[in-house]
This record gives sequence, structure tokens and C-alpha cells, in this order.
Amino acid sequence: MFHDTLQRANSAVLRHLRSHRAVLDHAAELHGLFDNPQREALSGIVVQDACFTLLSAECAAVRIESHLQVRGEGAYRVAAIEPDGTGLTVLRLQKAIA
Amino acid sequence: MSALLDLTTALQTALTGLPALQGGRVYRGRDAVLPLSETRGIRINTVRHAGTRADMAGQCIKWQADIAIALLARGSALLANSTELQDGEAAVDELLVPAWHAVMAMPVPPGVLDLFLEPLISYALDEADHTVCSAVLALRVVHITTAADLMAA
Repeated sequence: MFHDTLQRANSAVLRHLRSHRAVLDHAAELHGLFDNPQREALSGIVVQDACFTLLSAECAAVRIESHLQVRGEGAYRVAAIEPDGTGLTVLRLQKAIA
Repeated sequence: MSALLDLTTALQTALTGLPALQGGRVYRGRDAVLPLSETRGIRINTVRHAGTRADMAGQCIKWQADIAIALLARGSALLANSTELQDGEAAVDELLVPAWHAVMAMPVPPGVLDLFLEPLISYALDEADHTVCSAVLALRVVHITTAADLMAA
């Protein structure tokens, strides 16, 4: 019961907050949140951890290695798919060429 | 300048300007990071100098210097309309051979008795928007200085 409530709440919040559109494998359009924070890796290399958060119900077609063109942000490949169990899924992204 | 610092200065000179660096920099004695705008870089850091008396009068010191040479590389996307990526080991390998060769071929600084790269390379990987890799070479240098002022003997 609490799980269902949490899923409904997450879904409602993401529908309001999602700010980016992306094209999956040159075909399907996805709508979600794009984030690209910077951090230091290996005590010496600055990297960015790009990710795209969307409703789990809308990412059935996403596969590892899928091509994701995030509008205004560039082209990526899907490196990892991480459902959080509350209705949201985070796609971990790596840079690709458009 | 002491002969201890002369070693890493010579090393920095030998490694600076390698085409495989793709415009990246060679840092000596810094904890600097490779910025997002650069794909290759090298950091030279002295790990330690350990010395023993080299003569009965104690006027010379025989040193063993251990110097870490960290090769840093960022993988890149390879092909248009593809998700194929260069992996971290392939990226750092582009720097490994020219850097190794440059160290082996560098002019031997004054006072140096022996200079060799240990046959040990330590790798580390991380996944982010690109795969990044570091390969750390271990350079061992045996050299002699005067005890009074640490100048090459």
C-alpha cells in the first residue's frame, strides 16, 4: 500500500519536473530529467556523470548500448539501467557521437 | 636547485610535448587534475628518496629515488551514429609506449648511476561520461650527491 502510494507520488512529481526530451535509438521519444554533475575520478581526472531519469513504465524499450540523443545536451549511449523500485529508472550515460 | 629536483625536471622535459599527449600537460610535484577539456595528461611525483653514505668520510650520499609517473587518459566515442567507445586501457595505451620510450631514452642527469623503469604498471579504471584510466609507472633512480649541499657528485 505504501509502495503504491510512493509510486504514484513519484510519478506525479516527475511528470511535473521532467525537463528534457530525448530520442531513443533514433526512433522513440522519451521525456525525463537530465543531470550531468561533475566529479573527480581516480584522484586526478575530472569527469561528468550524465544520467537521465524517467518513469520506469516508459523505458521498456531501453537497452544497454541504446543510443540516446538528449535534446540540447548531445548524444549518449546507455551504460546502465537502474530502476529504483519506486517507479523511477535512472539511465547512466556515456558520451557518443550524434 | 638540488640534484633531487634535477631528476624530475629532466623527466618532465623528456615527457613534455609528446604527440600522444594530444595537447595535454605534464605536471611535476602537483596534485593537479586532468580537466574536462583534456583527454591525456601525465603527473610526475616523487615517492621517496632514501640515502646511504657513499664514502668513509661521509662527504657523498648515494640515493635511491622512487618516482611515480601517472599516465592519465580519457576514452572517447569512436564512430558517428554508433555507441562504440574507446575503453580506458586502449586510451592509456596510446600514451604508454611513447612515455615509456621517452623515459628510457632521456639523457641521464649528472650524478646518476642507474635509471630504470620497474616492470610494474598499476592500472585503475572508472566509468563516467567516458571511461577513464590511469597507469602508474615506477621509475627508480640511483644517484650520488654531495652530503654538504645535495649537488650532483
